[in-house]
Amino acid sequence: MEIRKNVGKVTPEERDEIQALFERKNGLTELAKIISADNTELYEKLVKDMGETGTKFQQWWDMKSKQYGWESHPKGNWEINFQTCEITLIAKEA
Amino acid sequence: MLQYLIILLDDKSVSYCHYELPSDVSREESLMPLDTLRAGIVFAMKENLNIQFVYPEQALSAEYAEVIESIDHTKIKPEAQAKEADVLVLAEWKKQIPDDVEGATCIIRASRKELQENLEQVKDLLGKVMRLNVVLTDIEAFKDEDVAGYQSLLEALSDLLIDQFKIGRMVQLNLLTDRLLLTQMNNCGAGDTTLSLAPNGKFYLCPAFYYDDPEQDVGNLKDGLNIKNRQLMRLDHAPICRHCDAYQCKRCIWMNCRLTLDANTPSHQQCVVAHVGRNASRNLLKKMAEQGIHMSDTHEIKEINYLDPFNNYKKWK
Amino acid sequence: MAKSITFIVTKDCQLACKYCYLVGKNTKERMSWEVAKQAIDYILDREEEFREESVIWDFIGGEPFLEIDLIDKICDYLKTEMYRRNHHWFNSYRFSFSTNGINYHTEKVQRFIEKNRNHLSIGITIDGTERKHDLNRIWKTPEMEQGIMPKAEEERGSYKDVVKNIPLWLEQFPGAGTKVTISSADLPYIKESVLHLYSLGIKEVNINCVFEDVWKEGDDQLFEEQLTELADAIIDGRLYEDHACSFFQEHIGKPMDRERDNQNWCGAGMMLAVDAAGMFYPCTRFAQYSLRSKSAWIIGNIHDGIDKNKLRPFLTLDRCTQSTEECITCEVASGCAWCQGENFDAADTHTVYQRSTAICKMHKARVRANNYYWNKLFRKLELQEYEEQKRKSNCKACEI
Repeated sequence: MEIRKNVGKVTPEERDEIQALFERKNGLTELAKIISADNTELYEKLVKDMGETGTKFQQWWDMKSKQYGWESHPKGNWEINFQTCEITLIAKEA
Repeated sequence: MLQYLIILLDDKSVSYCHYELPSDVSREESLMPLDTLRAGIVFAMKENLNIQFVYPEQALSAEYAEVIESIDHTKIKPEAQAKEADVLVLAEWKKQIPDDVEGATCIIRASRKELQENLEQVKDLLGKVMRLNVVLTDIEAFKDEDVAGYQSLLEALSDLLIDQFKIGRMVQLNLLTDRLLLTQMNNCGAGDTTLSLAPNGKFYLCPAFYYDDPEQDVGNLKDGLNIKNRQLMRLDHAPICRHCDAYQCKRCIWMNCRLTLDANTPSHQQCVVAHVGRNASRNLLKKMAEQGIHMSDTHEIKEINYLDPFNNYKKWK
Repeated sequence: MAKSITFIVTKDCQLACKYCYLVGKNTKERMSWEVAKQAIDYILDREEEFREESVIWDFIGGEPFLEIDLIDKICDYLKTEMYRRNHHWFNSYRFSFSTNGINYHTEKVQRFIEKNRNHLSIGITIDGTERKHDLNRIWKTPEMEQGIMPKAEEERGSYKDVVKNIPLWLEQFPGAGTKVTISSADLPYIKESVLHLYSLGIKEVNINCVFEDVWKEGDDQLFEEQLTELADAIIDGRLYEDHACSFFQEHIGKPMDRERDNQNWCGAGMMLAVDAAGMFYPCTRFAQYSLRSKSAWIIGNIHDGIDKNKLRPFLTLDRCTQSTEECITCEVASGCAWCQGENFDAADTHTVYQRSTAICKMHKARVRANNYYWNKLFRKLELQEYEEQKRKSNCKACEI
């Protein structure tokens, strides 16, 4: 059974930060489907960028969860609602 | 409200404004038929309109003269028919300025380049007439990189005016002195205050529309006027112009229709040319003050930091 | 704010909807890759001129999915180029489609969706019940291209060909809404159609009356009756809790201030459209195939660029300058929409400053039904709240 629980809220500025990273991450993921290794210049840029963006993305969640003390779950993850800035914990109960 | 009726006596009536006569004006019956002329005059009388007759190069017969003289009017004439002209359109740049221009308003149609090359003749003209209207024929071709050149040209014309003022001749040059005297828009008024009647008996917003395409009429003498969307000719329906203080701008709706495709919207070129002119008037006023020259009914012109009011539009909105 | 850039990839469509404003549809004008590429290069080369934060790359037809191979190539190029150039739009873009839904399930379209899943917005047009949908949305026949229209009994509706794809679409885009167009003949079917779309699982129904001058005597009464019955069904069935119908909006039907509420309704001029010939337009509605009685309003082309003079009338448009005094002082003005393209097409002169008022009586009818909807809904919610309060206070009394 899935648990959904509202665990906090971020500021609109913080929302903008993670939304931009989210968009970029999605863009890079979809770009990766069409850029082959033959395109050396773009491929290398993309691989590096995916790594960096992924790290920044994770860092944001680590930092904010610590800052706000969001409730967590060993089998769960947080989601943000870009409209309301609310953070939801989504977890699977055993 | 309509106030003026411009009657083109002939298809080859002289151009006194931005439009060129088509090179193929060779309509067989190019002269306005007498009946049409008479009907046009009656129309103007009934509508209380002041008539401005625009003459061709060739002389008109006595019959025409008689009909024309049946009503109070203004004569816009080419140089070849200068006699009794109220407004005289000079044909070309000449070394010799005709003597009979005195008293009339003179019109010169010229590009900026021609004006620059003929400053000596402009100087002579300013010494003879009390008002000179320069109609720029190359506004559509104006580019942003032309601003500095046009500013210098107007600067040079300002100096010529100052020379006249110093000797007590308070001559007017439309490009520079009109703005000094205005406190509100004084536009051409085509379709709003002014209409034109062509030799075919049809009405047009202005002669330029007739020469572009005779099918663009806004009524005729038989059925009367039929001006669609007339409100768009008025200042209050021109979103850019109604906020603007380049009061001397002609706000040429013919050029609007050509360049922006909408009668109430001026092009970037028209706005920039008008604003360079406006600012040159401001400089002229400053120079006059510095030199102790007084012209009655002049008004202060504010400093502004734009040449195209379109760029300020969002602020006004 | 997002810039909307529309590729008119084809002027062809499998359908010949009777209310379609695209009067010049044809099979010949299909965009080539060369034109698409040049348009993209023109736009991306000018990042300074296109400063909007986001971009919506919109694909329209005719039916855009008829050109899925080209679209796929365009989207791949867009993604690659936006990234290669470090263009700010790479961080915020969408690919948007309005489709008739007929080819939605095909392998090519599905492969495209899979590839671009996170950047897609796809709207399938389904007009309601089968009889309502098939009243207008009929298959094109080869004879139609010769101007020969089929007899009513020979017309073939497209409902079944579309509805089969709705479950897949909703599975892939659960929050997707559909767009319904109402013309005179559709009026008796509004209520059943909206409810039918809800029953298909579509939660958001964006619906509007056509802007063209097609409305007959009595249409407004019929419209009002349908909307009132729909209001009853939505409220009595508690559908308002998780469904939306754009006909009912709380803040429409009020007077508007000349100064404060003077903005233009539509985004023509802020958008950009390009067609198969490489011509740019302020919106697709200004391309020749959309216009009945005017010539296209072309603002440039992929070779010479955009002539900004031809955009100025659009960028300075406001509500009052284009409206009659009757519209400006109308007591139910808010929410009364217009389409700049239709205004232009119906105008007496070559202008975008003459607002068409063909929709006036339909708007007024909508406002009356809308007022009914909100009065009824608010009263219901008020009474519910009252009952709830009463229940709570009774419980407290019990506790004592």
